[in-house]
Amino acid sequence: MPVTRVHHVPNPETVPVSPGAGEFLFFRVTAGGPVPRFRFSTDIKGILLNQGTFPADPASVYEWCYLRDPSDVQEFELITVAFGFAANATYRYTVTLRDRGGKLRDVLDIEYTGGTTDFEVETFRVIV
Amino acid sequence: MRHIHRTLVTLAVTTFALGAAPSAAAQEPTNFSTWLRGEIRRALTAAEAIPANGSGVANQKESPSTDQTSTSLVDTSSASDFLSLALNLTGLRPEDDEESTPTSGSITATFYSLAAGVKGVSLTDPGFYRRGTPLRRLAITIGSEESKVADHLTDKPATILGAKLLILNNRDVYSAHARRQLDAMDMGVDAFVAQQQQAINEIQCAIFRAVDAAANATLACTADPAFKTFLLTAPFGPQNWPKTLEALEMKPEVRAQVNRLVTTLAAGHRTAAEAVAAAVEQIQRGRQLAFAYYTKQREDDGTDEHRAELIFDYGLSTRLNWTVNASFDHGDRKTRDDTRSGRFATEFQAKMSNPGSARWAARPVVLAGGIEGTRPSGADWLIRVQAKLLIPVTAGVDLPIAYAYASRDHEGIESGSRLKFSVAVDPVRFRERFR
Repeated sequence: MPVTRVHHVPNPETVPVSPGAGEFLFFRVTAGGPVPRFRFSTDIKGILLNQGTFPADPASVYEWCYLRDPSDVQEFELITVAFGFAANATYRYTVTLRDRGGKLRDVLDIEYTGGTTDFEVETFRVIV
Repeated sequence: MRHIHRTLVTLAVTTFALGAAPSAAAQEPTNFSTWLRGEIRRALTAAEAIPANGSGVANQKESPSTDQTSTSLVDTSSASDFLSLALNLTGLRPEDDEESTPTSGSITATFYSLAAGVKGVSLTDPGFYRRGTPLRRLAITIGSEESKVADHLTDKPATILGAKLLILNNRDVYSAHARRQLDAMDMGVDAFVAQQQQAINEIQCAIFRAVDAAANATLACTADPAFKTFLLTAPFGPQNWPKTLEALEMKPEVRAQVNRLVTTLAAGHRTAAEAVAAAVEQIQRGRQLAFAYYTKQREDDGTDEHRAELIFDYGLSTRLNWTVNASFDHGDRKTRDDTRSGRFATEFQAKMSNPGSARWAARPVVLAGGIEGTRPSGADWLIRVQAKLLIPVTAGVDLPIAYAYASRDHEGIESGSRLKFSVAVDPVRFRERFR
């Protein structure tokens, strides 16, 4: 069964970020079901976190930052969030570019609806 | 009790009126991700053989079997997660023409849904759903059923009361069994994600070298200063991807290289999909054991009936579920001797169609065949067989139609064949379908 998507802000595929200027990425996954399952990974560092990383899991909203720590910064890194729909039918995935002053712009904002055997993968590349 | 019938009908009709048409999905953007999904889908060619899934056939939304007009000959171990209403509309027999008004009805609710109502929490709140796992094991039923003087010593409707406790619940997503399967599912997806990231790097590098004259093929793309310049023009984003793709199509040898990568990636997608489907299958085939108690209370000198029952469910495959009931029935007759009987029943339920893709989609069409043997003390066996077709109208609304046969008359059961049908409504699933 194909996953259906609503693209409020489509995946830009490449995202320029200036960590030196204090810029970082802010991720939010909003779950619309009882058992959210997602994984945040990069092609360089592998799996960095999943829903179980968050003490409040299961929750309706999961939020985290990336590239705020200088040790995170890698040129051309592919960033992926994978979603499982076995017991959670809908997700909304948003990424915003921020700095110390707050939000600079929306990078990505997509809603997904899937069936029990579906999974979905969303990937973009960071240019530092 | 007659006003309960009216209340049930009103609830069902109100529930039908709650929905609104779902909004159409926005158009897919013309970016690299959309293109890659399409390429993988094409490479997967025919059906991916993902087994059918959806709402479990062991979730009973109809009235319990103790209700003689119910389309359930056999009880299944689970109630709906939330709330279900059942109206047993008629019991048509070939030789007569009975009324078309409801002859019985019931409401079943889990303690989970009641607790959510009391606390004002959404039924699909993830935290509450996890904390409420034990509450989903216990369901209560209330309803009413017509009585006949000849069988029940009163013509006043019986009040149906019941409770069901899931002792073993391997199909709940928070059971240890299900969590092991979900972990296995994640591992399958992780492997695909790693493969896809590698493939994206190779495909985007190949495209860069094919379309950008400044590319230096002797360097790795990540070491080529021109690669960053290329990426900063957003060649894979929604604005520029059509042009980039057009340039790629002008290079058949690069396109062939990309096709080979996509073919490999599609194989990885199929492997991950099989891992996910296998995990879901293992959850859906989990064993369930429940204890249930039902009673029919009648006023005045009417017979009160009691049933204590053990219910076992086992998924033989993703499409076939097997249910066994063993129960002790007691008839408390105020002006005559009490009756006692043992009962054994079994049923197979087969999914005949694939459900919709969304969790709140309608259940599949289910065909069930069952047999029940009841041995009252000092009397012959009563054998009943039933074939039932459960037709989903939409998410949360099912029409069970049953053709039942009884070997002889026995307290409200008439010998011969009988056509039964009812309406089963799960208001929460019906409402969520349109949210």
